Amino acid sequence: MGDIGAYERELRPLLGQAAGYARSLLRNRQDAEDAVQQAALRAWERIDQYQTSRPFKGWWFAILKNCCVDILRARNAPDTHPLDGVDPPAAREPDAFEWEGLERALQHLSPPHVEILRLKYYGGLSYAEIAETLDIPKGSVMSRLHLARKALARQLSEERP
Amino acid sequence: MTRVQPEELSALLDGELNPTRTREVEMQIAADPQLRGELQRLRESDARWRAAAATAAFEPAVRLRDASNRPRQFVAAATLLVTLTAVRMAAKLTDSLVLSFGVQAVVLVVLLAATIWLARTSERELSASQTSAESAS
Repeated sequence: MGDIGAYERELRPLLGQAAGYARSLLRNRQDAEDAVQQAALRAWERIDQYQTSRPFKGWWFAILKNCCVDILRARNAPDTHPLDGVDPPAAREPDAFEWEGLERALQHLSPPHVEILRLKYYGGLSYAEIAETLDIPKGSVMSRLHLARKALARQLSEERP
Repeated sequence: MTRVQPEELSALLDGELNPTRTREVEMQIAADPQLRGELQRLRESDARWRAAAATAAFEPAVRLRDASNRPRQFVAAATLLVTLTAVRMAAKLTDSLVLSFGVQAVVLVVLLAATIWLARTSERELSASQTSAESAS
């Protein structure tokens, strides 16, 4: 995939889900757009490292995940916080989305479970693609995802009135 | 027939089992109310997640051309620098004002043509990539 046209053809169909995944992590639409833009350029700069025998989406999402982490780190840097300790206005979206309830339930799950659920649902990744992104065997994806789903279902049923 | 493993219920939901194993798992689920209940709970959670994911997704504005055009922009800037230097040297070397203006006019025409060529090439690339992206979707 040496030319930008081929890269763009692979990338375009992923952008909607990529934006949703980044948005679920960053809780802000503008930051999510920035993360996707950064990942698009960073991946192009590293396109020589991509092996065509591996799932492109999984490889690209690993870069996107790192871009999101960079933005979260920058957001949490001491000099980005106002003196009163309140989150900056851009840090959270004002609208209540469908996923707010789910996000509350996710707070009770372990980080590996949350991570795999985000990749599966917001990113729409297959098991092979998740394995590529997280650098774990496909069998581990299957068992970890199932445990994560069970934990979440338990959490959601406890929240029901 | 191997008994259904718990994680295979998730894999069934995600369409990640091979056709043979899918049939085996479905047969065991049909005969086991406990497995059916478990699968139903997973389905409900799954539907909620999918709805949430659809709400969060949006089409971001992503530009890739800035990065791909960097070498071309560098060449254009270097060409501009070299030609401007040539103009100044030509003006110093010749005593003829008419000749000096003539050289400068030729250089400006060349620069204008190069600029138009660069702009048209970028437009062609962009429209080609948009067309291919639309046809892919």
